[in-house]
Order: sequence, then structure tokens, then C-alpha cells
Amino acid sequence: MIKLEGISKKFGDTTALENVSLDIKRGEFVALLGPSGCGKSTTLMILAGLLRPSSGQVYFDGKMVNNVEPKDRDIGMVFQSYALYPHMSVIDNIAFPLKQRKVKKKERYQKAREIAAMLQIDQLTDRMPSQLSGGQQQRVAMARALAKDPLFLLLDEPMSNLDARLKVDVRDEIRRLQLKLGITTIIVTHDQEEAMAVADKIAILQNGKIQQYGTPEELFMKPVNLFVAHFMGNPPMNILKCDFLRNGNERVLSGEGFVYNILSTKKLSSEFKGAKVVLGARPHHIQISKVQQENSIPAKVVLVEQLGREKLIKVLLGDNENTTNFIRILSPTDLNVTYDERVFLTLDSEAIHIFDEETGKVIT
Amino acid sequence: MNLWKFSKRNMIHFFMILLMLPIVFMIIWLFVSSVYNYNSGRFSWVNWQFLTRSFELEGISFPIIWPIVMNTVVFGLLITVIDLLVAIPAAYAFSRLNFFGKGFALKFLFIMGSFPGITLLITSFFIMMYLGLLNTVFAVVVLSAAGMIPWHVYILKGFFDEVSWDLEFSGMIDGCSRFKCLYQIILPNMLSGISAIAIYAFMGAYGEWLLIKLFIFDNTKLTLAGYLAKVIFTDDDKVTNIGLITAIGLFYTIPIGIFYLFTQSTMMKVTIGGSKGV
Repeated sequence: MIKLEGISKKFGDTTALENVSLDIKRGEFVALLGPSGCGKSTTLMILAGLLRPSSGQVYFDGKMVNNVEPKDRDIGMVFQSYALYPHMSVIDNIAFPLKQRKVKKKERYQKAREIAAMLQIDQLTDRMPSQLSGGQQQRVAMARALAKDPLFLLLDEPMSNLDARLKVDVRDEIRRLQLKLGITTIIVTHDQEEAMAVADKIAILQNGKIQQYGTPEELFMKPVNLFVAHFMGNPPMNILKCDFLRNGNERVLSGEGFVYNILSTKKLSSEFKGAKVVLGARPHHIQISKVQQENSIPAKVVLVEQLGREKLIKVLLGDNENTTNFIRILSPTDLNVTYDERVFLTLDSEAIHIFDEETGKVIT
Repeated sequence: MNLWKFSKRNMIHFFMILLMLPIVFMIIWLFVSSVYNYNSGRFSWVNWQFLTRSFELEGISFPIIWPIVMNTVVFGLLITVIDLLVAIPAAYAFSRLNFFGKGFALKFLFIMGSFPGITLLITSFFIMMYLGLLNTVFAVVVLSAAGMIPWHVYILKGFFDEVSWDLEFSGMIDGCSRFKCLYQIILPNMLSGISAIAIYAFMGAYGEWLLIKLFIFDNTKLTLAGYLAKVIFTDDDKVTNIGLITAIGLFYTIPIGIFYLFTQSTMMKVTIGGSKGV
């Protein structure tokens, strides 16, 4: 079990991490997700012991390891650049961590060969790293990280140098291995799709703080703030600024080009007293219809993209030409709309999210 | 297309040979001058007698050359080893560690490297005199190495910078201490840089004659360059023996030629500053 407690990290005057706390259970696959510069790699480096936290504690299995050198932490790590030792053959690369542990020569090569076979690179063992493709190098890096049966596996953007198709194969492979070995794994990534695909839990970071830590479903369905809502999902959630109007039992959202009546069954946080909110609606939670319905929003189609499985439709809200509020909608391919056509949108009341504009926190 | 390729290669060879001719010509002339007396028009091997015996010429004694060749090799290796032992850890520190005064120290190194060593000769002479180190190989080794080390630290730092941090981090995670990382992972990946520096150091030592001329008064401690300097810098009223100079000069050049044949592939990979050739 890994535990981070109030970790902060400062580089000179800039704060890279601020009061980060995280609990990771044995056997879990956790993704640290966020845009570049959010502190996810710094967190990983602190876990690896390559950086010392400015304050806070790191615990491995209940033992404080702040002052333990990386070599004594019993971790395996795959770097973004793979960092294979260019002067050693593949088998020597894989056996290197074992050599450092003074495992006997025969034993360590046997173990290295087993790992190589598990990762299906046993026919490459005599090659040098420069003679391998990107995907093969990635496998060698994985094999080297796993060779010493580490307690934890750390992956730093392991797939960002692979092409899109290979990425999908590799992430499945990583997940398969992780489940097979039951090894506690932490992956750093900026790709929300990758994080959702492999991880049991995702910690989403921004500006050095953990915004939300939970299962992929939780993050996707119940984002706690605007940042998480916008970061998770592709195409991203539509974000519309609007006024929050209370009229007896009725609650109405009114923004540029639209008015929307929140159904009374939807509960809102009682703490919220303000008037400025942000409406968030995922592209697949909006229906397009050609006839006006109750509580529907008029709009004009400005772009139709055929994605294959579905259509991505961009519409301008409002019934006049002066609005600039537009949203993206994913709809079935059989829906036949064309450029400039007038349509009506209905939002799934249960699936919308409402955020306080000031704090960005969710109030639904 | 093929014809064009063929003639293009021929052109390259043609110009390379053309550019080489003056040098080949000079070497041939050197050899001819050493065995042919222009005044008497006779051939003789007398100028090569240093190969077989010691002799005296116009009041200067010339010892037999082989112990001096040995001296040169020992002297060169000693300087190379000292240079590497100092420059590698220093360059590592400049490249990988953060310490107080690093920026200043780097600038100072640069100034030291650019400072003409010749202006320091008088002070060095006095320092060595007070230390009682005149006429010792130690003095020459120390001064010679001290003159080369600043630049070599600078160049090696460039090579260290080229080795990515990821590689070092990876080594640490795989169980290496900082020191183990250095010699098991980083150094093997900058061998071309280290051999370049070693070659520079050895060549520098090989060509070192001023310090030897100034600090060594003893014939048995001479190196080849000092031996050559002995003939060239004779007293003003004496006639310089061109034949002897060319003979010793040619002998002095041969090892460099052989050395270059073996090291040129390494040297070609290196540009000063540490990036590898394309």
C-alpha cells in the first residue's frame, strides 16, 4: 500500500505540488492524469525517490520512505523515453536490475529470459536497443522494470511515443500483465482515454493539486468541478455560462441564446446561493429534434462531421443570428441534418451538470 | 545516373588527392633532406645516427633516442591519466550537480582555458623553484595537465549533458548508487568523448616542449619534443643543422601518423562541445 500525506514540492519560487494526499491499495492500477505542468510527473518522481518532497510524507506499506534512496525502494519504472541502456544488449538491459542485486549470472539470465518470453521479445534478446522499433523498446523497458519483481511499477507516459494503433495494443497488454501479476501500478498520462482504459482509479491533477480521485466512472459521471468535467471525455463536455433564476419552485438557467428549465426532481447543493452558474452537458446527452418540444432550445446547425459510428454536429444556440454560444453534439448517423438547418435541442435533465461559476464546484 | 555517381566520386577523390599532395610532398622532402647533403651532393644516413648511438654535435650532446621515446610514452600516459582523473569528476559535477558558485566557476574555467599559458611561465618557474621541483618530471606533468584541464572539463561537460537524465534515473531505480551510475551507465555512453579528451591530452603532452625546455635540464628526462627543440634552439652563432632537424622531425612525426590511423574514426565522431557527428 502506498500513501502520500500532504506532499508539497517547490522548485525555487514555483510550487509544483501542493498538499497532495493519495491512498493506493495493493494490486491497484492508478492513473495520475492531467495536462502538462500539472505536477503528475513530479508526483511520480517523488514516489520513485528521484525527488524529495518539500514537505509531507511518503509511506510504503506503512513505513515512511522519504529518505530511502531510489535503489532501495523496490520499484520498477518505465520512462517516457524508455531509457534503455544503449551500450547493453536487450538481455543485459533486462538483467541489469538483477545484476545490481548481485543475483548469480546464470540465475539472472534465466529470469531475464522468462520475462522476455512473457513480453514476447524473446527473439530479440541479442539485439542492441538502437536496432529495435519503438514498440519493441517499450516492451524491453517493461521487461526491465518487471525483472526484479518490484513491489510497485511506475509508468511515466509509457505510450506517448507510440503511434495511435500500437498505443491501444500496448495499453491492453499493460493492463493484462498488471492483472496477471497483480502488481500495484501507477501510470502518469495526459490522455484521459488511456487513463480510463487501464486504470482502476484515476487521480486528476491541476496546478499541483488533486482535483478528484476516484474510479473512471465516478470521474466521468460525477465530476466535482468544472476542470474535471471538461478534462474527462472526448469530445469535451459543453460548457455554457448562464444566470441562475429562482422563481418559486421553478429553477431556470438563462444564458446567451437559451433558456432552460431544470426539472424539479433534480437536487441542487443547498450551499449554493449565487446567481452565476455554468451548465455542463456531454455531447451524447443532448438530443436533436426537428420539431419544438417543451423545454427545448432552438439552434442552428453550423457543422456536421461524419465520424463513422456517429455524427458530430456543431450548433449555434438561439433563434437569431447574434449569439456566439455554440455546442457540440454526438448523434446517431441516421439523423439527417444539414448546414444552416434550424433544430431544437433537448437536454437530459438527469445527465446535466451545474457548476458554480465563481468556484467551479459542482452544485448538482 | 550511374555514370554521374561514378564521376562524382572520382571528382571527390581527385580533389582529396590534390589537397593531400603538398603534405605528401613535404614529407618526402623531409626524408630527402635528412639523407641527402645538398652542398656535397652525397647521400648518407649520418643524420639518423641517433637511432643507434649517442653523439655530440657542435658542443651539444644528443643521447640515443630510444630511452627518450620511452620517456615520451610515460610522460604522455601520465598526463592523460591525470587529466582524465581530474576532468571527468569535475565535468560530471558541472553537468549533474547544483552547487553554490557553479555559474561563476564555469565562467572562471572558461577564462582559465582561454588564458595563454605562456604568460604564466615566469610565475610557474618561481613557484617550482621555491618548491624545489625544478628539473623534475613532476613539475612538467603538473603544469602541463593544469594547462589542459580547464578546456577538457568544458568539453567533457558537453558530453555529460548529452546523456539524458532518464538514463541516470533509470540506473538509480535499477539499483545503482550515484557512483555506480556514473561508471556503469553514463561513462560507457560517452566513450567517444572520453577517448577524444584522452587523445587531446596525449597529443598535448607529445607536443609539449617549452615546459620541458624550461624546467628540465637533464638529458635523461627529455621527451621527443624536447629532443627536437634541442637542435632547433641552438645558440645564435652556430649554424643550424637542417639535416639533423629533418631527421628528428620525421622521426617525431611517424608515431603521430600511426596514432592518427587508429584514432581517426573516434576523432571524426566528435565535435568540440560534445555533440556527436551526424
